[in-house]
Amino acid sequence: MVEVLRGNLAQLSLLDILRMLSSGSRTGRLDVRQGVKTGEVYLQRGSIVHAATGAQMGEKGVFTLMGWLEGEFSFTPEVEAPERSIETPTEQLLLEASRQAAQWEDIKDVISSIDAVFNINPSGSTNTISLKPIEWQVLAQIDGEKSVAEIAGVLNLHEFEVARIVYSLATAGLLYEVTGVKRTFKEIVEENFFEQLTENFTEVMGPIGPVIIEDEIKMMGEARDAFPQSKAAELVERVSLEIADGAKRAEFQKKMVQVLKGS
Amino acid sequence: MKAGLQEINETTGVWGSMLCNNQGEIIENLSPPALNKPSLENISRHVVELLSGTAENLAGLKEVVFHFRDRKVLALDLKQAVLIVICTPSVDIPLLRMSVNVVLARWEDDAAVQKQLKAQFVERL
Repeated sequence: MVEVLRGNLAQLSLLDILRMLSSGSRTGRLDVRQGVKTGEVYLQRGSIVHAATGAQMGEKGVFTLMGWLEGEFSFTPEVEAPERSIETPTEQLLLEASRQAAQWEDIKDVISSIDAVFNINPSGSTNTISLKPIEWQVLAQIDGEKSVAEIAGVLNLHEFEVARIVYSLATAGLLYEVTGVKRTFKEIVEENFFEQLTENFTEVMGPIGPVIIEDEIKMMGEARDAFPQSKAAELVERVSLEIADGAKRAEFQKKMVQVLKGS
Repeated sequence: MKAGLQEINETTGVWGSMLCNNQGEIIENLSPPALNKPSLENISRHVVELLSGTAENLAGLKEVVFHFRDRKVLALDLKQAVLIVICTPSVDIPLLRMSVNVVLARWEDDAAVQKQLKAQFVERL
């Protein structure tokens, strides 16, 4: 048996690997290892037919493995699956995985890994927060000792689902990470940014400028008083696309790039 | 032209940038020495192939963002040439895109740059 593909998940995500193997109509076993944890995904002529990691099998297993952002993988061709635990068409499975991967990118900003441990923030949030039953179940497990992965195990939930809930609770100010992560809360843009954005944009667009900015903030699903720094450039770019004149748009972008770069 | 590339390179997360002609040959390059000429030409040919391929399917597409090994690459089709920016995966793409737009807007009005680009023009493969 020849091993044809081997690498690190930090450089090539599991989603990319599966896309590649699927589009190449490959048959074989993809072994994934993160520390002491292992998992495997079987493909048959490009279709994902079986996956397993720990006690999780099938689609749940695939999505859990997708959450492994670090670790090693190797693909051994021509290995038949011992059983079939996945019936969902691979294209649909990868589409869902792709959606989750995009959410993981945001989650990674707050949760360093699924082994991260969180505790309840004693000062809580300044806003009124309503929780869904599943969010309450996760919050009730937060004790400063159990990791995200362990909570998923206790509640028999998918790790991604728990990570997503922990992410929303942490960004709402209810939780802080006990180990590992450098920053738990989103970095928020300074009010000065909005003053300069409004001033420069109004100069080009007139009195409608501030209205467009507020609309774009809403469309991005954010609020002005808690707007994340990581999305500041995206907001500027979005509003700049409302400027029809190319030269004026470039001039506005020039001013705002200087603001964003802090010069 | 080099000053424009230098300005792009000052964006956080940018590793290096270069301009290549429509056949992937490098016209101007401001990338760190770690990226040797064969590596850069490998990237530029890949980009030109990509833009040629997509041009048939997605008329009007002038920008491509993709992963190349452990780097993120932003490529812009300038018609006369192709601008390639090599970045770390965490680069802020909207900020980079605007920084590039600022430079491109200046190049459009710069007769010397336009002359240089015209001189380097070759048909796409």
